[in-house]
Amino acid sequence: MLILFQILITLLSLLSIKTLCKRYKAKQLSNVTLGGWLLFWVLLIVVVFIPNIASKAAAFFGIGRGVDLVLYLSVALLFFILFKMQVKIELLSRQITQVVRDQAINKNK
Amino acid sequence: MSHNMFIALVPAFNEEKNVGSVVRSLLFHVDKVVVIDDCSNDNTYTVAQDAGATVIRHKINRGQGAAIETGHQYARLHNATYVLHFDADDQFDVKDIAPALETLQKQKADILFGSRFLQKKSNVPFFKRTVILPIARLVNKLFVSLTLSDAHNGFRILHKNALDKIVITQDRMAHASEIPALVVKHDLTYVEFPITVFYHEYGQGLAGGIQVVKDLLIGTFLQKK
Repeated sequence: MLILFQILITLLSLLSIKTLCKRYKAKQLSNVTLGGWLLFWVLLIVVVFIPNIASKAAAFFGIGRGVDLVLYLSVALLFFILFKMQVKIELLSRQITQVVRDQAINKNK
Repeated sequence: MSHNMFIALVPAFNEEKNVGSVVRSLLFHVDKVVVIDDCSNDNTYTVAQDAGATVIRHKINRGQGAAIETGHQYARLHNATYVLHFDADDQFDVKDIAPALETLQKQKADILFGSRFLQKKSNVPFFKRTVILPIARLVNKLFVSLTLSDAHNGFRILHKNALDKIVITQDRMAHASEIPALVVKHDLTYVEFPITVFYHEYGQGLAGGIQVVKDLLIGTFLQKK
């Protein structure tokens, strides 16, 4: 069961890394974003194959179990992504406003 | 001396009941009334146009801040010397316009903010005066750096200097906090003026306030563009 889980996670991670590289080549990602995501997926593969690492890291941070540390980090990451999306949505919203405004004014010129 | 063009900007969303009378009464006090119809579902557009206003219509509802900035852009294109922000729901009194403009001109300020509380200064209760207001002022100084007695009042008159510099990016209600912040940022001079407000319905509730804070917070991450 564990092996199947490990294979699935590894495949998912490798697929994600491939997509990242593709987007980086197309200049859709910055160096920092690429670095951050690469670190995330590589760490995920490492933790899946050597679960003790998560436990050791958790102990280092004073958290009971490795799973808990992974969970906390996941929640923090999700919040961060949500926040980034909010900012992106607001930016898009402002761009829509500008288009609507220009169209409205051009009609009244 | 060239004529100072004075334009009234009236953002309106579903205001067919009031916008007609507001436009008609405004026309006695300004050179031109521009109604920005923020994609109303009712007859705001035709009612405002029949009353004598120039109507600019947003194809999609974008919010009050966005509507006012659309009016600003129009006023800049038409070389307005002064613009008036005036609500479409008939809650302001047009009789305040002439003395307010006179005050702005006399004091040579760039922008005038209407205030409901200015004349009631002496009636402020002891606790509010000594505890609540100083805290509120401190919070305001941290976020806006400008202390107004009635920051969220929609009655304002802007001179060309302010019109050129105040570009509203907050599409919804947070523009009322953004404007004083821009006054500080661009070192504009301002004056407050007591005005009358007739209440027809309850304004923004708690949810509206939370939305304003959220918009301001997210806005700070967009300023570095």
